[in-house]
Amino acid sequence: MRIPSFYLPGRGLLHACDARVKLLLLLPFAVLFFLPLSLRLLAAYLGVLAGSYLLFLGPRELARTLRSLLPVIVLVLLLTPPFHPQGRPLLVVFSRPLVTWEGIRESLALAGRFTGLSLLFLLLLRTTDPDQLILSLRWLGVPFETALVITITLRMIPSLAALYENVLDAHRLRRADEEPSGRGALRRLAQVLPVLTSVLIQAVKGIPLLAMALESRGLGRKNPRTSLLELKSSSGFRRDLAAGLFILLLVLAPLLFFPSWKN
Amino acid sequence: MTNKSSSAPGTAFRIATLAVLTAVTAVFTLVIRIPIAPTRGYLNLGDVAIYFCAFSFGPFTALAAGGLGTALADLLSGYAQFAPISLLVHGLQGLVAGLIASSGRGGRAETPLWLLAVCAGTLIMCSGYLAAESLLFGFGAALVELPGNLLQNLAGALAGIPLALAVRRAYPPIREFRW
Amino acid sequence: MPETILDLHGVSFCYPSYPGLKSVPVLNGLELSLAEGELGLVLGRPEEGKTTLAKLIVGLLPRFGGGRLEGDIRLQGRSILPDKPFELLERVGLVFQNPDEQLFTTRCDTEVAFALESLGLPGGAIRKRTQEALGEMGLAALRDEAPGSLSGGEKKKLLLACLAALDPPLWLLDETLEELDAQAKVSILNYLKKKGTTGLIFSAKWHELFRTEVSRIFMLRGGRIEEIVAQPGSARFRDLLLRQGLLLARRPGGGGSTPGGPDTPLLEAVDLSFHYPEQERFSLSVERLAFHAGELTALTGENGSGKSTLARLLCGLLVPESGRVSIFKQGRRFQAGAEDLQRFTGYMFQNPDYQLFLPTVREELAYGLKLQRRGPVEIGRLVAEAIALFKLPAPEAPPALLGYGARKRLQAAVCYHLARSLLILDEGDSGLSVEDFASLLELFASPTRAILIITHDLTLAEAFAHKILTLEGGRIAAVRPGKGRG
Repeated sequence: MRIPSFYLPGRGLLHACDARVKLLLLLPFAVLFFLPLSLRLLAAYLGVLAGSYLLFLGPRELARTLRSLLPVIVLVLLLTPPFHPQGRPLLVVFSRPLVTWEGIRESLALAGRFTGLSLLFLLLLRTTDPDQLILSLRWLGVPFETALVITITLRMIPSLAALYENVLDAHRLRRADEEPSGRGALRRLAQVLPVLTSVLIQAVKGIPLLAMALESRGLGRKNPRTSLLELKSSSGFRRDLAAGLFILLLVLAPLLFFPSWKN
Repeated sequence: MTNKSSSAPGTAFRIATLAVLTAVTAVFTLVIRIPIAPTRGYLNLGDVAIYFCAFSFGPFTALAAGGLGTALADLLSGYAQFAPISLLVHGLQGLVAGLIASSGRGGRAETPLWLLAVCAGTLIMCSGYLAAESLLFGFGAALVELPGNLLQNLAGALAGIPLALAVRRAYPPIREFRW
Repeated sequence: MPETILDLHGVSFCYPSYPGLKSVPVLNGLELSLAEGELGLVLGRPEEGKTTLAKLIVGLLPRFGGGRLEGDIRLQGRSILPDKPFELLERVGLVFQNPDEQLFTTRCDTEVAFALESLGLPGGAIRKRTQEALGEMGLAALRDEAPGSLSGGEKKKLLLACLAALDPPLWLLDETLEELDAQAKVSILNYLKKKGTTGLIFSAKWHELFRTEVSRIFMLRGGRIEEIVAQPGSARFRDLLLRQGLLLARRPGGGGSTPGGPDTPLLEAVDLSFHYPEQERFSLSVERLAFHAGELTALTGENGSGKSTLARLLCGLLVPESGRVSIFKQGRRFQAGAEDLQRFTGYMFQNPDYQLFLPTVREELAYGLKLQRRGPVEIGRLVAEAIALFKLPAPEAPPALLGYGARKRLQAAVCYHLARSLLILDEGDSGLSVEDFASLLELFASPTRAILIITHDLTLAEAFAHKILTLEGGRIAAVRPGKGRG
């Protein structure tokens, strides 16, 4: 089984950019969406993000991502105005303002924020090799043990999923004689418990086996570990970081020159 | 020359425990899902796994498995924007549930303690998500999630407790895996 | 004089006891000496303690799982007992019996490099040795593939590459050569001989190519090791293997089963076709397949040929895209849907643990009987009968703690109570000695039942089955008669 990841290999600039730079810049770009921005500026930022998505991942990917975000966006647009009854009323029901211009503005801002953050995170994840990402986390100071836990977890998820499917089949066959009983949720829960028990027993039995495998390959030694895989050279890193910071400044510039006010 | 098993779990054992249980939590979240609330898309058994960890393995494991497991599940299912929230909220949920669950002396008096752990965990998980999602996309939409979250925690208790008991009876060595 | 690499002296070991399961000593005053350059074969029935011995030599037992060890284990003169497994890295290496338990990274090259990284070698040296090791095993092209996506044979070669990168003075291979095709077996044995590796190969089966490739042959039984001095091929050698159940003495008979004549088959599948939605390359297509009462059919084929898929179609776990399956039940013949098949066909999965979840053997056996709505007295009787028939230990023991062979027999007992008309055993012979597997088949044989065994072992198939089907690329490539008889 391939290890699961959201990575989509490609050859764009963003793919080639050092993973550490992408990780470091994630925070300032994310914070951006929490600042009070004018709707026009927000729309501009969203446009840039969508454009990047289009450029580096293709139109189909953009469409798929937007489709997956649609339910939340719709919910936000529908449910935010009732909680913002201040401002000039737009829709009045029984002489109480249900929807106001302010409310609409707020819901658009929130929808924009959600979409922007989602696109940002997904852009990072889809253009970065998971191994590079984990190496970057280590470079940032995450201890080796944590990174190893993540790697092993990624490796185990597909096999645990396969185990679950097999256990489901095995239990189904074993109970084929059983009369189909009540449909209540409680009944369904009771039926799934034996399956989950088998899965958990097998998983837990695997813990000492995995520990044995790790120690048989030297985990636990006192000497410092070295690594086969490496991040990019420092000159490449510096170049990418400079480029990234430059882009950040470009993005922040409108904020400085056009102070935000709500309109 | 006689040799008994070494008592203190080494690094490898701790890593193995965390990796396996994180993967279990991720799979319980990803693979076993029932679609309901459109915002997150599904009702999942992740909370069952977190409570199982809290009862069977202790606070630190539940913190790591809960936080990391659900965050990885988010990353893998295309909801990466929720990963930081899951990391914090479910991590805290696991930690507190684990602390309460292990605060007893052991023995028969455990189930009431476990129920208390679930109540605390539910409070943290639901309020945590409400707060974080309000920040992310507003109070109105965040409120829609609440019933689903409550349901997940209810399932967490109804399934997590019997599972912890059943696995313990079927595989006694699990008692020695806590750390 | 060649150096003694491995020295086992007075080694005794037993696992810890649990309520309901008292432990028995697995090894009892075991003695063994291996000199440099010697490649030894350790034969032994399943459950005799081969894996236990291997894990003791690398220090993984009693460290994980507890238990009591007595005696001395020395590598190149130095005892390993005060050392932890990660300190023994450069002195001995082990390839686990189940490769999935030993592979844990996301790429083949990092898998091989992991131990070198643990040693703290410089990056350049790691890269060089990793590349060489992968090349020696023919895996250079799979460098950045995920270990989980490799075939069974490739996984074993990957683990050998991990060992080759370290190249310790002593190599231990736990049933590594099983499930590898003959060519791969030969190439690995040649590789070891050429390198002059000192090592032990543990195996539950004798293969003819061991004759020329190994320098010493041992038998592990009764907790002790004896060197076999009889020449392979001699009558005495054959006799030794027979007595251990490592060779088949007779064909399984009993049950009064004779293959049914041209009358109605118990199950008949016509024009069956199936393919998995995510995979376009593979598709299954079977024109006609029939199983008759009292008949034992063997299904063989390479990994990926579709054996499991066909089995799952026959027991209603998968629904075919087209085709009909009809079954003969209660005197009538009718077309069967998925649910009908689930009640008609029994399937013993290769992994016995998929369906075990209860705290005692007794409860596990009673579970299915309760679902059949039998009374408590009858349940008690049937449970006791099953425990005797399938030689199950300790009714109060937790199944999860029993050995692999015992769990397989428990799975068989559960299957036995289900009393299905068509029974499929998927790789049922793995983990059981040939004799035990034959006994199992005898228990299941019945004039009203058809049995299908899926196996890699062609000798087994030929000895037991009335008919042998070979599957290739999802199609039945050959049908030939076997030597099985009623």
